[in-house]
Amino acid sequence: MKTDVLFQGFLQAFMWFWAIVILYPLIYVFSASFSSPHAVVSGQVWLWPVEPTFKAYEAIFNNPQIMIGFRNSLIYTALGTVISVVLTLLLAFPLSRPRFVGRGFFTWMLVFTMLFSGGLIPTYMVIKGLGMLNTWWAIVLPSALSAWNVFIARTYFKSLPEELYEASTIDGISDLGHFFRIVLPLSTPIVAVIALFSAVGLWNSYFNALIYLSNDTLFPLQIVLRNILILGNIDISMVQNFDAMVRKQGLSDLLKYAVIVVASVPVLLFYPLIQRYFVRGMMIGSIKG
Amino acid sequence: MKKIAIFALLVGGLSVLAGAQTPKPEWLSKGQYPLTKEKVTFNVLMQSVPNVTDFSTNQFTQWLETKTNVRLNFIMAPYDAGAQKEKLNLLIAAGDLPEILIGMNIDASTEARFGSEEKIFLPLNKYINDPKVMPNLNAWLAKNPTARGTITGVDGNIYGFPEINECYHCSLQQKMWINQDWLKKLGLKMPTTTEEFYKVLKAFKEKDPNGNGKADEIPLMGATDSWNTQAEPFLVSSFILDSGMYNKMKLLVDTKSGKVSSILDQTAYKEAMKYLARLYKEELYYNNSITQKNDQAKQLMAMDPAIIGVFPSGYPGIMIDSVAQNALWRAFTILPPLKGPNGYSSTPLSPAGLTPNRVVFTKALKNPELAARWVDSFYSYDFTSRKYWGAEGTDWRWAKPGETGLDGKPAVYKVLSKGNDVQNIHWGEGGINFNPAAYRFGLETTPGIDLGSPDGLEAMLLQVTAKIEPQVRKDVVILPTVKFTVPESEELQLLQVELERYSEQQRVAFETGAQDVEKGWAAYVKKLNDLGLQKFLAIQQKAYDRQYKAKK
Repeated sequence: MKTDVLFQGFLQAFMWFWAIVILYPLIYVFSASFSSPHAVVSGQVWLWPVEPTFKAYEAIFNNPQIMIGFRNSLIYTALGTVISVVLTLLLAFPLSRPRFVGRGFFTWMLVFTMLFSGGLIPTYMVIKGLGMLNTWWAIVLPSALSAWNVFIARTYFKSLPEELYEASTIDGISDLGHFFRIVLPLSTPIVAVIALFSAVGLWNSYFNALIYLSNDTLFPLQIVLRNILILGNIDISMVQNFDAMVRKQGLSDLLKYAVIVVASVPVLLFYPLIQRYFVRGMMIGSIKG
Repeated sequence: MKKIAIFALLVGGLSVLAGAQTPKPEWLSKGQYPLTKEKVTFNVLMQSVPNVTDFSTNQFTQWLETKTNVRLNFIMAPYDAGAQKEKLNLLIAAGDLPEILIGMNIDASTEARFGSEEKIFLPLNKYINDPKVMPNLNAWLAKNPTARGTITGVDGNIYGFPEINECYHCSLQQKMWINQDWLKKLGLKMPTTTEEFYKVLKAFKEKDPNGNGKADEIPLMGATDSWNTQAEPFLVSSFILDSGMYNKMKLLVDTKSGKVSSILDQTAYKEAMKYLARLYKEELYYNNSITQKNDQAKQLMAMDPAIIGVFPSGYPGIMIDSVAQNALWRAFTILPPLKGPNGYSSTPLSPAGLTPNRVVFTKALKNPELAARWVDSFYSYDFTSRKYWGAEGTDWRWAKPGETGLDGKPAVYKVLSKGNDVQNIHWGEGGINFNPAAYRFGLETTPGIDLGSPDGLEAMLLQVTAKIEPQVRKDVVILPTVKFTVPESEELQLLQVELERYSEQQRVAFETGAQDVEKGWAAYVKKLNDLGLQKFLAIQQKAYDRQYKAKK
């Protein structure tokens, strides 16, 4: 009994310690985004906002580049996630059926892509050859199908009882009907997991946009964000418009934290909503039935 | 045809009449506009600029297209050099060549690779040398003979048009700032020698100049990572000319003999190390300066009451906010270079504001002569003003007689609108910059502007820079930018990494007293030579002779 209390106490303290270690940077960024830039630079902010102000958020919502980037990121994430989920499920289901001819071959094709990749330049040339450069498709299509996600989904489908299939076949349902009416309703956890993986991946994607896009109006938020963060590193020898420079430096100091908040809030909101599926889905997918 | 000619004459005549009231600026675009009868489109790989919303719909882009009849098809590259290089290499490897590259930070090794080795960049000599094609750039280079050496590649060809930005205060960027309120309060004079400086620092430390009763003052503080925020080069320059924190090998050229040398193994440098060790030991030089970042320095600077007495930086705004901390901002003034024990004093003069390879043509370019004429337009006050400030008449205008510039001489132009943080009116610092000293000085300025106000910054920098200019030495100069062939640079890089690492490490050891200067010096010099210092200098000498000797 006594050891239990001790153990629980220790566990609690340990968990609280980690919770604080993880939470503190988040709270700091959040507080800094509401503080005056001067207070942040001079190190007065350590937990709560100092001289609270909404100036940074005002500046963000008045900045056309950030708003365009935000819109683009939303589009890429939404569109890319739908495509990714549909393709992954449609590939994973046949691969999970023992009756499917060529299952081994297709599985090996997938494994092959996990081990080897074409490299940057050939991939670029394929994208270019397909005419996807400088379009939405260059962001949402190349990363649509991840072999890893397919395997997770396949394993999940395999864990569904085979008797279900037999029963529905006796009732005269087709393979597609079986997928849509029996399998899919039972698979919400795995759909949620795949959607989350691809959505977070797309939201954070930076490199694809960097190399495939060359038009400012198509840039996702991550690229705009990077440009703003490095604005602070001004080459003074270039500057003639000192007034603009002082304002630019201030802008960068001011926006830095608020932009990070704006860029991470959608993902932070997304997590709790599907977290319950998340844990279950991962677990189920990982145990072979 | 005739009609057009007459019309052109009429319009030309009218504009001459209109311009007659004000003195004409020296550098105006000299092309025949529009540059081409039929519209021509160039594919341009362009560095994006964070505060320009969209280059393709930008007002200056539209004006440019109407004026020159050249349309630009923009391929946007990132703002920072690392990501740019990635994109450029990818485009070249995939055979997807843009015709013109603007602002792509092409360094000497990239130039050597894609220029003289792979012939992807076009040599530009014939356009630059032809005053009919590039009248402005040609004339500018004729006036600035050393510039040609800087932009010439290892094979004698020029692969890029330079950016010209003669920033007077940046040419003497090693500056030290001292709290004059503290000097006044303690009844001290501005120090002129290293010994006087030592005494001032000691007084700052011991006599409580901020008056809070605590010995919390930091007499001298530096930081490792921002614009000239290391204190050592300024102090070393009182013993031997130190080329600044960015030139770790500290290379100099003797102006008479043209001999390249490094100060790292010289006796005067040894004396400087002893002086630094003394300041460090008595904690007159804040000991964390050797490791701290500028962000930390800013926080110390913001303490109330102020605790910093002296700090180095290219301009004080790096550590002090001129608006939010204006009182502190006004307290600091320039500390001119100090005389060493032998009466030696110096300050490094950085080479003229010239960046090679701002614009590069690739072999995909179909009409290089037209493109060269187009580029030449930017080397003019009218184009540069429109590019940097916006439309004539609303954002800026030519100066009227009687208006004075920063240097007190007649102004060239006056800025009418300060613009917004994010805008789509001009290209800002993007594109091809042409800011010769006369243009920068030509900015209309209210005479007697308050130098301590944020608006007075440029005038203040001009004034303090003029104070330290007399300390520039005539007998030695910093080694100008030197370009190497591919095998040379491979050999050099190996040597340089080791030499820089070792000399830096030893400098810190000497400075902090971890290694006694007197005892450790002989071993230090021997190790430098073992690491290949002489070989390193020989390669530099060879490259320097190749690039500059012939051109003189």
